[in-house]
Amino acid sequence: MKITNCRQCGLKQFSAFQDCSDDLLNEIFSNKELKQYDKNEIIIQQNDPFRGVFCIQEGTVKVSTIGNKNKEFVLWFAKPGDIIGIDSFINNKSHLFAATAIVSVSACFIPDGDFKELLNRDPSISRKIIKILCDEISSIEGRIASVSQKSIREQFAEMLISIATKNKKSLEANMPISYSIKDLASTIGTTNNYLYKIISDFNDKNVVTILNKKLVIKDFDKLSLIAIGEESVT
Amino acid sequence: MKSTLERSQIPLCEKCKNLNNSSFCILNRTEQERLSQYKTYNVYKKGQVVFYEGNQPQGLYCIYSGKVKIHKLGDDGKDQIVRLAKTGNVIGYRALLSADNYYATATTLENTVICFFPKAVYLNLLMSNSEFSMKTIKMLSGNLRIAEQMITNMAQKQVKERMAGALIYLIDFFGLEEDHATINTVLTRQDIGNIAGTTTETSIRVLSDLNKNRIIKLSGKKIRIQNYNELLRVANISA
Repeated sequence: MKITNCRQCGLKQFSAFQDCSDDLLNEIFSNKELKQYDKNEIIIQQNDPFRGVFCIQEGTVKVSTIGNKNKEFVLWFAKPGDIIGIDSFINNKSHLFAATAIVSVSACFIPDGDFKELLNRDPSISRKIIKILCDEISSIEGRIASVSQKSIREQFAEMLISIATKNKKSLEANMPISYSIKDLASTIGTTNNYLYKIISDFNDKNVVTILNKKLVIKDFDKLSLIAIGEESVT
Repeated sequence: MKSTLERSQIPLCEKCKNLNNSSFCILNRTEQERLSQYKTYNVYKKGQVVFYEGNQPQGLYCIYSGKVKIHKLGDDGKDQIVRLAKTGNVIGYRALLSADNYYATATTLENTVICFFPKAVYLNLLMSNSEFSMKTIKMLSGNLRIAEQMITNMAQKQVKERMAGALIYLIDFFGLEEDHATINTVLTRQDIGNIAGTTTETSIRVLSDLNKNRIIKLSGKKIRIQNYNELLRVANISA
């Protein structure tokens, strides 16, 4: 059976609820539901009305928006411990993004009212939310600068590093990255074909390898150099 | 410069004309007076830097009058504007909130007067007033929306669409002058290019194209909007 008790949740220390007491969480979140999603299943549709937040237990969720000419743009990948929907909660609006499971995902759904009650009862959570929002803005504004200042190749190296280091559970450098080419291309607004070229070039240079359709970073230092445009030509 | 603006001309926070437009309006009178007590101010000339990316924040800046750009300088000297700020806005708060160094540089776009509050005063208010922290969260999530919109445009749109989008952003943010047509700000072609994420040369070229097609009218650095709907269309924004 899956964990449905916040007290036993191993992810608590990585999440926004880190500083909340177990008893309080269990009391307030008594209505939470553990939901399962298959690969490619849609968790939130863009413009769905806000009903609650999702706390990811297992798997990876793609958070994306429909941009220009109905092209998808991936804003971020949510990992276990991440919460989806905080900003929709704050603005009390419909979701301005879509969330899709890219592998099998289990997530706790916390209804709107319960989340609100936690905010009222435990002010420490607002400090955490402020921190989360600050980090998200910083990461996006960093990418805005990268889009205008870096080549697609450099941006892709940067994206791989940020995906690899964002994994909250472990910081192993050679964690396989299991995203589809299409999703990776949609994080930097390039085409699948162009991204294939970059990946095969990275593969030739022994920076990454492809194992069972998953990307594994082989050489972090080299990748970092590519990301800052300091790659040696040799 | 300082002599032209005496301290007496900067009102106390509780009497500030910008109070209702700022996040401080939610504070009670005692808290506002506390802000006034610790407040200092500075007069900046156009193009002066308020804070540098990478420096440690010491406090919060609140724009009393004027305009500021928040920008990130790339390794190769290319500059990208990530946000603009105007009268009543606070800047440099994110570094304070996440106890980080400044993630970008702030530079004035015109002569600007900025008030300054020490770090501790701001953070104490945030801890003690839950309404104020909720207001701060709202402000942050608004900023996040804008940033997400911007990155999507930057990654997916053509340069001409982005330039038109940058002009629409300027209209939305700074408003129009009394003639209901001229954008209420003076920016260099380079700055507009740095919002749209393109070079100065391309910025000049696209603006002059828009001018030729009578969508905008350039007169010096002022930009007059001639055909707003057409501008929306070029920007690929559905009205």
